[in-house]
Amino acid sequence: MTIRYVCVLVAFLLGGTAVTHTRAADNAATSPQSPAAAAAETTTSSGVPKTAPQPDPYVVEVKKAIRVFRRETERLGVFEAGKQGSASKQGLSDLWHGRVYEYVRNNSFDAVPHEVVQNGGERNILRRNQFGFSVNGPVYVPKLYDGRRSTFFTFSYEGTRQQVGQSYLRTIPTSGQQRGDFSDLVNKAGDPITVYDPDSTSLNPAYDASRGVELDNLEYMRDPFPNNRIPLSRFDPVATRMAQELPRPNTSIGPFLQNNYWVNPPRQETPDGVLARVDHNLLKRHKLTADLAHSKGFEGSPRIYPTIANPGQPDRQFSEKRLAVTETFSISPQSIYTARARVQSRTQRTEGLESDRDIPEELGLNGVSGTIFPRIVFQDFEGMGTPAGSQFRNAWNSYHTEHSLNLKQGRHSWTVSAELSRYQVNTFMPDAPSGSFQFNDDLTGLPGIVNTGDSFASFLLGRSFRAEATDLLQPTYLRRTSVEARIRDEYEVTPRLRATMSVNIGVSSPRTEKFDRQSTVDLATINPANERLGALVFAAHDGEGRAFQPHRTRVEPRLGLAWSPTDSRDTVVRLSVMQFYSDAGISSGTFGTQGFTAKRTQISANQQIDPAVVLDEGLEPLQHGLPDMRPDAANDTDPDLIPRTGRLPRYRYGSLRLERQLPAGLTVRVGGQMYRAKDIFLGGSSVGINAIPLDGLSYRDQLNDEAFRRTLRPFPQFQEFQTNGQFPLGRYRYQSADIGLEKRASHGLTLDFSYSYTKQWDDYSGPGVQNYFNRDDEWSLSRGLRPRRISLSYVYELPFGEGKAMFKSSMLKHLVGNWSVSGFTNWMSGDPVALRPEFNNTGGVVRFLRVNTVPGVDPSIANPGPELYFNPLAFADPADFTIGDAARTHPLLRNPGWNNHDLAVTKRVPLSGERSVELLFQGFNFINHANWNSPDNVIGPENARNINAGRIIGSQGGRVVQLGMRLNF
Amino acid sequence: MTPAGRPTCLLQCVFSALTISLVWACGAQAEMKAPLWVQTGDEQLTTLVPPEKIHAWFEDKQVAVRTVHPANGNLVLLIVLDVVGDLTRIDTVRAGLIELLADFGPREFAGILRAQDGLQVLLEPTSDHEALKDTLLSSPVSGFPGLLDSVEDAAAVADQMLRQSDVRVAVLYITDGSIYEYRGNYTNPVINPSDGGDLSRRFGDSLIQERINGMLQSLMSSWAPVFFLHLENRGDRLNSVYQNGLTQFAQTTGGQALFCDSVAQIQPFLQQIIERVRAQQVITLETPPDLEGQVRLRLEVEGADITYRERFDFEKPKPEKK
Repeated sequence: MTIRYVCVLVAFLLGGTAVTHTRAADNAATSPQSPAAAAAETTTSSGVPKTAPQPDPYVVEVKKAIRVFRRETERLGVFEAGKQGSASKQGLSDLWHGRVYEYVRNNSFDAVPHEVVQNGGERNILRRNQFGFSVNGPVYVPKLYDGRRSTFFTFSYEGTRQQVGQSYLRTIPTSGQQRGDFSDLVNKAGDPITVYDPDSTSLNPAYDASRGVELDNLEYMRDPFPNNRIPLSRFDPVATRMAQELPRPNTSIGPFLQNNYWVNPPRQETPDGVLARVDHNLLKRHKLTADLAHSKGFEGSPRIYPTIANPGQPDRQFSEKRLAVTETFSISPQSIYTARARVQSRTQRTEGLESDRDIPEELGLNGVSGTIFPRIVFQDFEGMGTPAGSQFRNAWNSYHTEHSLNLKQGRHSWTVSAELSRYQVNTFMPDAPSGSFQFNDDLTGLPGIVNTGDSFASFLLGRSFRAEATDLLQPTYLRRTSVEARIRDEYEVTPRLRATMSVNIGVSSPRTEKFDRQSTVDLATINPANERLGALVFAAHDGEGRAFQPHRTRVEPRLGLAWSPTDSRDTVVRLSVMQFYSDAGISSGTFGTQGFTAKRTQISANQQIDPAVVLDEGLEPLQHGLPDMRPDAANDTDPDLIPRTGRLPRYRYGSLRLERQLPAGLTVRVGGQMYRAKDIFLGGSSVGINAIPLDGLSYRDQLNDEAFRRTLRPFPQFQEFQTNGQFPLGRYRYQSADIGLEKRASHGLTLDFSYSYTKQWDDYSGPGVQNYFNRDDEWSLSRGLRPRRISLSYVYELPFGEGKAMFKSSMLKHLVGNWSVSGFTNWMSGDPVALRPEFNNTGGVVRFLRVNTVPGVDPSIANPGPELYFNPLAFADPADFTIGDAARTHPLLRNPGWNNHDLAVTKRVPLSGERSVELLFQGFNFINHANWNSPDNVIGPENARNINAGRIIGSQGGRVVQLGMRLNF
Repeated sequence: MTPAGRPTCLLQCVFSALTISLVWACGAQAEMKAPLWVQTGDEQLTTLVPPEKIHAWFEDKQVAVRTVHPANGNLVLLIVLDVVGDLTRIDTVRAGLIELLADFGPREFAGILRAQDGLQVLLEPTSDHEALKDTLLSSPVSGFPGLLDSVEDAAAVADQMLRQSDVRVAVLYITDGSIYEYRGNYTNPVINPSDGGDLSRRFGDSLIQERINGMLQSLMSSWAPVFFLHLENRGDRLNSVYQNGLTQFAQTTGGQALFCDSVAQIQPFLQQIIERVRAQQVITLETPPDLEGQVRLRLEVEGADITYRERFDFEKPKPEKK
């Protein structure tokens, strides 16, 4: 400072007034009132004399500042609006930015998962490489195209090569049972089970029909197999060949002979994908943007069995493409028009669908042919063959065009938009191309007596109580169109109160098929087979339109209020109410094409006595060629029913929230919300259009006679209707309250905490519905909903290195600096326990039976743990031909909670310019926490209770470590 | 002037020029400027605080305060518009800015820039309120957010203005951008939807954190405070991280970041920021020659509460154009 003023003095003496002028200008510019006063008021601590004011000296400084502004903006390539910038000195390395990265996971980094350790495994194979790059910047080709101010691109690529073990613990027939030796067979209480010879079935002359079937009052009698062994000579030849594809048990987790097969096969994935975007500024007020996404690859499913009888999903090839073009036109500063066109395409096909093999023929199974193993379903064992519908070749395409106009006008801000969408699904997806065969205990048990017989024994004898096969000649081409218009106004009622009102109006067409190959059961058409209501009708035939449903119109009003009650406006109260609908989609599969697709279904006349199919004899051939457009073509099957209603799921929603900004970067949020919904789309076990009323249970053992039982159905010519999850019937109610606290960055720490409490009731979730005719009786807590949730996320910049509290100037600063820790902790309480009886002896009237509660017995226990999580003695299986009285889900009992903790440690190494390298160490479930499995929920009959009921077998989880490196440029 | 006097005059001029250069060279090495807000009770003090009442330390070394540029002196505010979304919010902020800039005195200048597709100047700094109003009303609203791609340039321009002239300078970003709308894919979007084993996106904020950390290094070397008014506070995880980054930018440069939960907050929050910008005082401090790297500044003003920027970087080069 002294040197400077000596210099000033020398310059003053030798150079005249130049320096004086500079200081005067400096001083004048600091003046608080007028230029003159400014010079007079500005002081220096060195006591240098003040100089006389200059005319408008502050203007000099401001002009100087503006000159610096011009020079610096030009140097940095900042340009004036409407002019091209002068950024010619920049190279591509300055213009383009992005990153290159690689993530690695390997089982040698990880803890061995708990479920693997518990099953005696030592490792869980894991090899994963995930690699890619992303680059973005202006489009610039020297001497050819300079789009540095007008055209920009982003391009990202990512590929993954993965092989990861997946754990399966299953129950399969023991080695002895696979040879026909059932001497080791026990029930869930550990008592021996006897296998009976179905060929020895005879009527009991002493049967008293006035009493129910009991051990001392059998309607049918059977001889047990000697020593509980089925002679090899009695084996069905087809079943014998199929059984050779079964693996042998390899573990003995129990209880008894259950959970005796554990495998950890790898799943393979090899996806590759790109994302690309180009945007271009056109004619000053237009912007064009094109987005493209493409991903494709192979997914090799884990082999639960190492044979062609693998019950897992088949391998798949998949591809997904998206293209969107958007134009934004800034009509004026108060109005913007946006137009967008989007095309999406997704295809999936399973491997082996086009194979030349005919596996049923190789097995000697007549009546079906296919490239996959027939589906075999056992009552108590893991099945054989891939699940129904897992072989397919599907394509989903959609085309959208959308236009919107945003307009600000006084205190109103309007948005008007419209969208037209067209959906296509091309699907080839036979449910059971090689046949599906179900086996029960009853055919080798004592008819009417539970805990006798065995489904695998029934299989070895080739006796299936129900069999199906799908005949599908061609793909189905489904189409649907929807139009949606929306008008929204955000209105400033007062400066503190804003109201947002909007109305959506949507019209969607029902699905059609390109070649009109659609059908449904019409419940108002006479069936010629029995002159009863309910017959198959076909699209565009006999007066039917191309679709079976009306066009659906949705009117969806919404209102939102945002009110700031305080002058400081640091508090906002929000109220939101709305009504909306969900639209019906068009799904893949053969649903709604019966007649063009055949569902050959063979059902036992009495599933305790007579098989529907004997494997060695095979399925009956198709009686009528396709297309089979007879009104009774769907008789005796589970026919498809397309609901001929325009009803859509309707939701009513309301929420009230309060947000308040507090000092120290804190924000607190408190709120509650509520949903009421009706006409939720249901399917399968939740809809019982053709169910037998519960008073039919009074017929007791007569119900096992299929011919009698069907007379009790509303539409006796059919079995259960299939609705493909599109029957508008369900209801639910949802309420939640939550509180959240967010802390913005200070001292390197950022925190976000939230807690929520939720309750939801419905009349459909969980294992199924017991009484279709009184849905109020089904109203209970929703299964799967975890009522309490806590989440915490955090980021902490470690206080080491340059600019930090510690090691800021030591030699270690480069090593210990630029480390950060971030993580998530999630804790959730358990969902409601849903109990079920071991046996359902209701003659097929009740598909999903509940348990009974035992009066006076507390279902809770003092210290729930894996040895006993709830008191099973508080429940009991219902007596034969009665229903359970417990709720569908228990109002108090909860499954074990779940929690998880993820942590990431990142080291950033700055390089030159904007380049840096990041080293990433990520631990998922890093404390290696084990989450308990749900307790065994099967109760068992009074005389042979499930010994495992209420107990927990095993836990899941294990620390997974991922290492990564990323070069940012 | 006589011919005989010319060589002397010429010599004087050359010597003067060399001396001035030396003076400025010494000055540039030996002083720096820092923003300061002085408060007595609940009131922001805008009048001059005598330098001798201000005590300053770099780390533990006390340094002299050379000058104080009081709160009602020259001011150049660079307003950067980074608005791409909701017209309601944007119109509210336009109206608010016009109202507040109309209160600017003849010595308070404002320039307007836009952050889309690279920083661009809509209006050079001026005290012409009509020009400011016209520019604000006609400013376009479209494109992709550009804050992360432009804030270093804007801070660098302001920094050089502050260093090379005797005015108070501040940058104010008006933004409504979401991190999801950036060109730069900071959200690490899923590229292979079928990749069920992808854990690399569990910590989806890491790209944003990296970008913010990199920018904090360069913003640290800028002397001018940067303020942020975000018109739409978003509560999702990635936007929280992004908005935290804006808070860190503001803290690093001595500015302030406010986030509007509702439209009603825009006007008062904007007013709060503009008042703080106008209340800014700038002190010139003598800096010891051995200062390097990131250095902590401690200030005390007798009889007043103060807030000020606490850290400066004396080593990092100025950010270059990306």
